[in-house]
Amino acid sequence: MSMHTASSRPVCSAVLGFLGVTLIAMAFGLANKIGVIDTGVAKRGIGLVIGLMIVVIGNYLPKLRALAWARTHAGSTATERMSGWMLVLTGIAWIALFSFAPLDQARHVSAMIGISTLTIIAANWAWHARRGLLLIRKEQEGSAISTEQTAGKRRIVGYLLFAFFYAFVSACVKFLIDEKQVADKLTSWMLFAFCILYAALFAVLEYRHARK
Amino acid sequence: MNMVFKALSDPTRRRVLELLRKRTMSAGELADCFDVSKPTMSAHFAVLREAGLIVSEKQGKSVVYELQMSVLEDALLGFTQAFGWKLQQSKHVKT
Repeated sequence: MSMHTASSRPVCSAVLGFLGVTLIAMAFGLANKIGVIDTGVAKRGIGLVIGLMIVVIGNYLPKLRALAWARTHAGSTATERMSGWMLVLTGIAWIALFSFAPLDQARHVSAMIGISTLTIIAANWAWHARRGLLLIRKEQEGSAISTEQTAGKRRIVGYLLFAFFYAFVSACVKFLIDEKQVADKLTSWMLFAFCILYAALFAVLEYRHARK
Repeated sequence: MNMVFKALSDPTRRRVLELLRKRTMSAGELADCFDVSKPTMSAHFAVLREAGLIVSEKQGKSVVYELQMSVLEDALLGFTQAFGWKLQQSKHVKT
């Protein structure tokens, strides 16, 4: 009985925003590698771009209905709204830090802010998801029949948010590490882990979709 | 963005958004909060839906509305309230 009439416009905007910002961050890294800009400028640029990415995704987060599957109809949008606001404010703080603060301080403080934000959002979502799961168990098949279009949108939102949160966590962890060799090693490992986890997520979501 | 500004320019529609901030509501429940006819309310819902500020969900025979505002749109709504366009001023709103 449940048919959402949400348009796919916010999902498209969020995906395009994420991809655009990721490309800019990669361009900064590449420009640094080929010697067009020095390491300090590149690091500041990447920090600013990640801040922008956090603002973009945070802005669209309440529209993406990431917790739609766990909706309890009691303050259900409040969790998503709060997460969105927190991410936008965190992103603005990152942009301000990487624009004006000394680089070392900007890296450490932004990482601390980022980790705090992520912890609060994760705790909040876990609490909401737990309540949602209880409700789904009670209702069972009674209600949630989603259309093909809605299910497709949810999968895209799943991939997008996974990529975003992974990039966010990676940036926070990397900014906390001062030693270049350790940071580079960690980056390659995190990239490797991302590919594996993304493949696993893809397999799980597509398998569930195929079963339906 | 024009659609968003158009949607937020009307006090009744802003009041609808304010009500939906608290919880999801059916079209009937929302209409009961205003002294306007149901077709007029439907037109307001259509404008809000077109602007992407709310989503509708069919639940049996009734249509349930839920807020779907981005942070920027949320801030814009707060901005309109902060600058004195108090929602209670709407003459259509039941007190």
